[in-house]
Amino acid sequence: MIFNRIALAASLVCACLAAQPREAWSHAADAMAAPPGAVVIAPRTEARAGGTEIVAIFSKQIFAVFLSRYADGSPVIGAKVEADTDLQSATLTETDPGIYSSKELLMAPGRNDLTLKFTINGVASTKALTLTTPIEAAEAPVSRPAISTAGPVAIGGAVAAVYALLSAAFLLARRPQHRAMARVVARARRAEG
Amino acid sequence: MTLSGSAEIAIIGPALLVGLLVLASAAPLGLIIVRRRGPFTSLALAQTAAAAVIIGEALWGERNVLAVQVTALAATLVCAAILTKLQRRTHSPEVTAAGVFAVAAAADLMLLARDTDGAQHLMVLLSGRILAVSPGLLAGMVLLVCAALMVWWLKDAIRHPLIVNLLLGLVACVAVQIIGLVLVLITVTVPAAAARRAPVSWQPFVAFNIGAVGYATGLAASLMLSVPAGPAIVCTVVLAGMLTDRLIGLAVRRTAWLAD
Repeated sequence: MIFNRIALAASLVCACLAAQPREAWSHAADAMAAPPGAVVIAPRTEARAGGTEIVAIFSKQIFAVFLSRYADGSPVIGAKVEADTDLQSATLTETDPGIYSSKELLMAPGRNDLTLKFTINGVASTKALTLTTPIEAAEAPVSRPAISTAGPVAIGGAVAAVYALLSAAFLLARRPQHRAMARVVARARRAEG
Repeated sequence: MTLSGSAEIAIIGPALLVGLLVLASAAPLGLIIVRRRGPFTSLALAQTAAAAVIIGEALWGERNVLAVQVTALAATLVCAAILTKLQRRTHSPEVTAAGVFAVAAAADLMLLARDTDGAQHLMVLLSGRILAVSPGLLAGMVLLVCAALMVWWLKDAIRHPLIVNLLLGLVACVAVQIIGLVLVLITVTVPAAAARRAPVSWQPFVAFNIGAVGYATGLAASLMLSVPAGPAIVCTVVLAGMLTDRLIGLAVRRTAWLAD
């Protein structure tokens, strides 16, 4: 009977365990979600300088800039592109037509102000851009096993000593009312017998 | 098993020590709870203690350990007193305890829903982190056990539900942060329930040893099978309890082995 009650109580706790995590994670996901109507592919920013359209992205530690003509969308080939942040600067190399990239620039989580200098057909332009990269949630603290500096003999001895002490305490502290209760139970059983 | 023998003892030893200390304070209380047929009371108090810890952490932050512990202890003791009063006034104390458990669990869920690490937090509260015991926590457990045993010895706790509930709240508040909610419930109720057919004066000793066997085998199983320690101990304590209950039943029937 008592085991049934314990099982019922334990099952209630397990039901809570099964129900809760998804809800908690969904709140975390909501907090990090993009605003309504926005489609986030990677940290990116867009700008226009004269007749040139600029799209800058930062993905997998690569900073890349796409240069295209605003009029027809064709890639701008053969430009010289440099990017500066507060502390770093790098010259971007053209890896594909209209695509200039560098692995030398590192972006911190959050707001990154950068300046893009580009020269197209001998005409130099400068454009200030802001690139916002996601702020990663702090990792949950991981419980580490408490590997003690004490030796195994000391630990084993401590465990054995505590066990012996507590067992002896329970043996010696057989309380008077327990003994009286035991005598009543024994008397009742003898009477039944 | 890839660890060396000494590393295994270094991991299991402190955890087993904590288990024994929790058992020492929980076994006598469990006997009283089981005698009153009230496992829901222990569940309600353990859940309340968990909620109190979450409230403490929400108020003061996880790093402010002392403030969190003081808040959690105060909140748990107040809830234990309220639960006792409610149980006195109603005809069905167990339903009252179940209600308090449900409210405390709901409070947990609402508080953790605001936390981005809520799922992780809840998992720790349920399954505990018995393998990550700090020396400070161990010292605190020793003091708690001494206090619990002293009260148990000096007061006739069976006749004072308030003392039992306050003591249980105190033990649950500390234990739930170390061994987790499920293991607190199992540690309080299962060894005591399994020992209830033993001679009355032997019951605390039997209950303590059932728990000790369960903890030792559970920790060993956790290490050998690479499963979480808390759930493994829950399973082995329940198995040890069922086995002992059966053995005591057989012994009582065959040899009329009575008290003293």
